[in-house]
Amino acid sequence: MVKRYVLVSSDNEKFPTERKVMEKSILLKNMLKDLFADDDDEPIEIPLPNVSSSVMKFILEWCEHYKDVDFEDDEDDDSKKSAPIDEWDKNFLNTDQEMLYEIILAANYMNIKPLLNAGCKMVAEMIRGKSPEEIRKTFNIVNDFTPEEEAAIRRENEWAEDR
Amino acid sequence: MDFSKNQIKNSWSSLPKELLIKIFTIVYNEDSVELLPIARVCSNWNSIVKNNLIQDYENYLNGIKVYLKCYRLRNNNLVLNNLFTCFHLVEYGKDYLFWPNSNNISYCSEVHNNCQVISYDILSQNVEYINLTGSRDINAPTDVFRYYYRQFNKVSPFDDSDHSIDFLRQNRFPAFNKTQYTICLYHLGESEVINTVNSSLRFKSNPIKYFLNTNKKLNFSAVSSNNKYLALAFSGLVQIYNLPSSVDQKEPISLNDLTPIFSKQFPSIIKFLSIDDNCHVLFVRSLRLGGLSMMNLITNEEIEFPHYRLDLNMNSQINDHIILLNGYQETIAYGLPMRNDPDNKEQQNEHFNNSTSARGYNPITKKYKLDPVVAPIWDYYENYISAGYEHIIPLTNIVPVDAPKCYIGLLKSHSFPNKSEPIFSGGDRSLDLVLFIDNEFPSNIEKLRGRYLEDFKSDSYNHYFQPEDSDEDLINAPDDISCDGDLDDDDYLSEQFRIVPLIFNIQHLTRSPLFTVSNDGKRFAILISNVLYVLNTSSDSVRLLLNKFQSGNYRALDLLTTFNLYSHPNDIRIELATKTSITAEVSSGSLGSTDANKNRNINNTWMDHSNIVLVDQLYQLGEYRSQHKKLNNSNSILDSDDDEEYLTEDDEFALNSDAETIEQRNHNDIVDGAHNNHRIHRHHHRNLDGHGLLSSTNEEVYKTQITWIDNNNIAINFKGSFSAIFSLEKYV
Repeated sequence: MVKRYVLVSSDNEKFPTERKVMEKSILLKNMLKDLFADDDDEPIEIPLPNVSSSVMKFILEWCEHYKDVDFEDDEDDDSKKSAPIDEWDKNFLNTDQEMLYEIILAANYMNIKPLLNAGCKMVAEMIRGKSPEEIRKTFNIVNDFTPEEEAAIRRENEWAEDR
Repeated sequence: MDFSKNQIKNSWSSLPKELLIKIFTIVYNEDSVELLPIARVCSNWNSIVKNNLIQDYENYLNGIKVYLKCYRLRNNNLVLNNLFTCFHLVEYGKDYLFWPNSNNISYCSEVHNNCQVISYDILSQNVEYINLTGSRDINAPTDVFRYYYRQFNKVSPFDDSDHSIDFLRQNRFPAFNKTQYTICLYHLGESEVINTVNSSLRFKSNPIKYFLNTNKKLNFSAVSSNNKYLALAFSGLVQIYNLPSSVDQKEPISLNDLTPIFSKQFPSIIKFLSIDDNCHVLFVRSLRLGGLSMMNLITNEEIEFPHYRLDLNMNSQINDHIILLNGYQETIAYGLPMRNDPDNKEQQNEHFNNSTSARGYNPITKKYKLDPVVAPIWDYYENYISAGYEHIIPLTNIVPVDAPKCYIGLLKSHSFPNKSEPIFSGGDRSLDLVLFIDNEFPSNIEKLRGRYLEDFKSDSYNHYFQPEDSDEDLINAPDDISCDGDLDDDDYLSEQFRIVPLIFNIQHLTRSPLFTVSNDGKRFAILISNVLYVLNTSSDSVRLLLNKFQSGNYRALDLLTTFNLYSHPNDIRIELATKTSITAEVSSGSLGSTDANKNRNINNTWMDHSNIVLVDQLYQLGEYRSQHKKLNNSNSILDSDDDEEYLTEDDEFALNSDAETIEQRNHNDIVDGAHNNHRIHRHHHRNLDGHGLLSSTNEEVYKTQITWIDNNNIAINFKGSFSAIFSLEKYV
């Protein structure tokens, strides 16, 4: 009998999942290894209170896509960081900003480094080449500097301005 | 953590710090200056960038976070051994080296020896072969090498037998058959070389890619900076060859079997050649009046660089974007450093393949018209020359750096009269290393670079030839000076340039210290005695330096990365010892109140491999000291009769003489190499006796040559018989 694994989102939606797919998450992989014995036939429910159902769908779709891919452990390798974002990932993450934000947080929480890296690269691309004002606009960030602080920062970085 | 939509909307600024750092680091790795707008978005992002990344960036710009790998090439396989006079390494493809006599290097010194002399001098004069350990760190010589030596020598120096080693130690190599001239290409890339813990070099595979043989006397050679084209000068005949990307060669190739893609007979002997990446423009210095010219290989046009002196040398710098004409006390610079467009590099032409070789003029026939993007360099210099825009700097040796209108050179120490507590104990003869920043230093470098080519044909290009803030007189000043002599050179320099001192009081007992700039202009290296200083000279670094200098905040600026090079009295070797940061302290921006002090901090923060190297070298240092002690106790070498035998009156005089005498003696050494090693050793021992390990001899400096192989690797040929490659990479 094939063991059943169910992920439970923060809004209590249940997602039956293959173990292979789940194990893309280091958090879940370690959890399965440490907490659940192999000889236990009971279905295993794993609550993920930090991941909403909408995000969980995205995460599982990503894990499903890469379930047969072995990611190397050295994802923090500089060469990997600087590698361009995978085309499939780019399309996959080409969603609205709120979802991208949640995916990044969820990937971080679930310890899915390749997904986290891809998400961060997407955000980096959105930042690149923009002025401070454009970045604020893109990410809906409030400028909380006082005029004096802003002038001081400008002075600090004067040497590299207007490149 | 609550992920409700209303809160998410404004939460990018409050993304967990570690995630923001991750994102910003990705941006930083792509283009470090992108951090600056990020720092101005909001206070949280500013704090993260400032505390975690900006300092790292500034450190990098200051050149203090550079780690070093030392590739030590032992001379028992002759891979890089040669005389200091003609040691040139050139990157070929990604990681090929070209040897000998290539001048595709950033610092193009005049080549005095032709290939014949190089080959024969190396092997027939005074190269001392010492098997340092007798170990098998380096693979057995390659078949090609064996072939080569068996072909031209009766003795194979690479026999593994002891007899062979003895032979190398005790004898000089026999002369080659002088009707053959050889060009050799090596492959010494990271993928092919294992850098062992003890810094020795080990080849995974045959490093030699191929030999080219020719029976014509070769007097100059150059490789395009993308290493696609080889230009050779046979007296006045210039030929250009397409270099194959890879060759699996078992035997030397005869140059006669290859077809040059360009051939032209010049009326006099060629003294300098340079060819651009696209093989569109050939820079030539020939030994005749007006011999400094550039030739358009497509349209056959020829333009001379205007000059009024006959003694000017020519060399190309910064990816061929700056042409320097050097003469005594005068350097004329054409061009600005430009960014290399990677797309351009890929646009290699196949139009040469169908060309035929012939003596005399053989222009390259073109099927395509000039692409302004692909072939801007001709227009670039044509405009410079026709506009009469050049920089004239009244100094003999000066090199441009990545920052436009900025140069590094040496000034006499008295240019900074109020400095105190010099870094080096020099006398009246000392020099200061100085960064010259033109008063017209552009505020918007990228704009200048980016629009430069686009606007060339339009009237607006004149904008780039005009000073932003200064009047015409400033531009014309050099001519006025040279004609009237109203201003002396120092006055002119201080009027035309902002002068930022980098190193004070450099001793120059033999001659000016060796210095060179990498091909992209972003790294400058200077070898002073036994210390190699590496300075980051990118545009950003210069701007940072200038900003801090002007604001008087010069105190904490670490200017240089330094590496001590040690030599051993018995087996000559170069070691990375440690890193020393030198802090120059300037009380204000004006030169008159310059104050420098010495502040050497041994930095023990080496990471990764560097740490291992450091440990290893400390060990070797200890080993050396014990040997040195033994030497002093026994006086076995210092007072040996053998040494005395070679110590002539001339030697005695030279050891105590001034710079000119020593230089003359070195000249004699070249001519008469037989005593050379003994002289070096004698001098060295004497020096060691007096000053200990860290002291250096004048000859060590003179006999050493530094060359940038590419933008990250610097080669040092030490005392003519030992070579090292230092790989400097950004430490993140």
